[in-house]
Amino acid sequence: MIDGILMLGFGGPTPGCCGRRLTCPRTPGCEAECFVAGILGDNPARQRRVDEVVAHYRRLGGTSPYNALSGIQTEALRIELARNGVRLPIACAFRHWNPWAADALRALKSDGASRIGLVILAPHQSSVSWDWYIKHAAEAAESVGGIEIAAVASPWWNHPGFITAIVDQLREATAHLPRERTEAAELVFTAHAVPQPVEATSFYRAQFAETARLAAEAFGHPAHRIAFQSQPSDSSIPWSSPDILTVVHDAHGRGARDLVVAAAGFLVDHTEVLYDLDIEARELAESLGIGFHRARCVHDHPAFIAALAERIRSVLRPPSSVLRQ
Amino acid sequence: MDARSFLARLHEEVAAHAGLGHSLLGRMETDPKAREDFRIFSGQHYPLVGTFTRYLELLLLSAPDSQAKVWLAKVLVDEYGERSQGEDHAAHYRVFMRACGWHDGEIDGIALHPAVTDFVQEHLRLCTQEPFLVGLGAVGPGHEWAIPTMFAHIIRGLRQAGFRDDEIAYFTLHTEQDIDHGAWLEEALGQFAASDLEQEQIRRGCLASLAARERLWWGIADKINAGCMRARVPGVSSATAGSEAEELTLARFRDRVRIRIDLPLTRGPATA
Repeated sequence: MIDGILMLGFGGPTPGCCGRRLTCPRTPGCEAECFVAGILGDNPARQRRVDEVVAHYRRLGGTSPYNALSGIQTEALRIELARNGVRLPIACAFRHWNPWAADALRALKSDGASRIGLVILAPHQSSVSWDWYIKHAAEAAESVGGIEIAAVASPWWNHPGFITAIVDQLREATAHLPRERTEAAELVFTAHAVPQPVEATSFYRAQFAETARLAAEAFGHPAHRIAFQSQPSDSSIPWSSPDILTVVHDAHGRGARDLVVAAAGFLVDHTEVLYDLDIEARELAESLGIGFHRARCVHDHPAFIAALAERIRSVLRPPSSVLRQ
Repeated sequence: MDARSFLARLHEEVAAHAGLGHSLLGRMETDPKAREDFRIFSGQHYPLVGTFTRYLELLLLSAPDSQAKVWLAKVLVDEYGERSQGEDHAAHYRVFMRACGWHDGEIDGIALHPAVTDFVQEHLRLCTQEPFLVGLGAVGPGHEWAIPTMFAHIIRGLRQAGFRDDEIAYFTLHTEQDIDHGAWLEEALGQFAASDLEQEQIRRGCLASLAARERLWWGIADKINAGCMRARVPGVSSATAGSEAEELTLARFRDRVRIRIDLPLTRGPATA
């Protein structure tokens, strides 16, 4: 049985120094550089890539809406659980920005919680999007003391509520298009690319492909493609493919007039979605004469939040460890 | 391009390569590693340490002249333990593994990530199936120029995790020796990197090695995340569940690897 909930997401930079990076210049606007260097590591070998990604953030204002949007999801989940009679302390923390997991766990502990149910804010499982989060949360709990990760909510890549939320966003994104254009459009689902050695050991690609298939069928447009995005430009090894830009080029080669894109591997419209899709992929598509119509991520869509609440309710019943579906 | 300019450019390319700049290495301060992380790390890293001399020995067979052989032999003498109290690098590494919590009898049974076995296979291929300079590029710039930078990060993480200096002597000794090896190599490469073809071969081997290195770090990170998660929250399924069934243990890998060499009796100018 759990008595508190921790939502753990990747995170994004918000205004103010993160206070974590020893080499932080502590200058105004340091957030994006600290965030990206915190992910890639303080290593001269990656400076070019750090600069490249920091430029993406700066073009979008220097910070990210990720954390605020995750906070909205957390509050929506709290309300949904309360509506179902479940009143537990709930906190949201991030892997790469504050509030850190240890801080959130301390807050939960002060609210009387000691057995935490973890919700990982990523729909598809790989060692870097699942195991690493659980490891991180468990280590944070150990550092706090007197609190433990007692259960992990099952992933939801094929949950009907998640699929419904994606489909509703697709409908909204195509509402302005004549029906025949939507029918003729190429439907593309994207997820973050992962490096081949990580993809090879996980269900990440298969789960993402299943999400895409289920959403495409429910949208009434079963023909679809999957694509990956946000692969680091300086990597020397294969990452998940095809890349979204390749898919855009291919669509042009097939004479596509419109692309309808859903970032089904992401939960909120944050910088990787706003830059890599809304700027980079859109600019390419439009330069090729293709209309680019992106559906919003699921955010706090009621069906998605209800799906998360269902996963939480299932970990309220012993045994406390919940496995994959 | 003259040899000096080529080598300078290659140095820059190595220094900016994602194989050296993997987040597993660069995040030692913002994402400190514990002994358990290094236990898993060491189990995956050991097969590389144990086979490095084999790459050099194989490459020695195809070295075109005495100068190349001398360079390889000088490095080999260090690897065999000349400047390490007579213990080879693999023996030093096992000291570190024991400090991580491994017993000697467990090492052969460690399941290896495919990126680990691929790394070894790729280097065996580079040192036997490619022209000599491709192999030299892999074990030379691809290793000797890269290791001091990579190990500086690892040593920082090891000290943060509480390892004593005597437990991590493999890393500190190796770093010192690789700085020497890099300087010797620089001298040797100056002779070999004269033509466009020679430069292309050296660079190709170097980049192939670094790409294998980048895959390796991802593979090790994969193992660390999955292994530590399982240990800390038992009963929750890993995202990598089932993948180990297809992995080779070190013992099985060693049994399976066969090296094919196709060499004439002599190389270089005809001998009397």
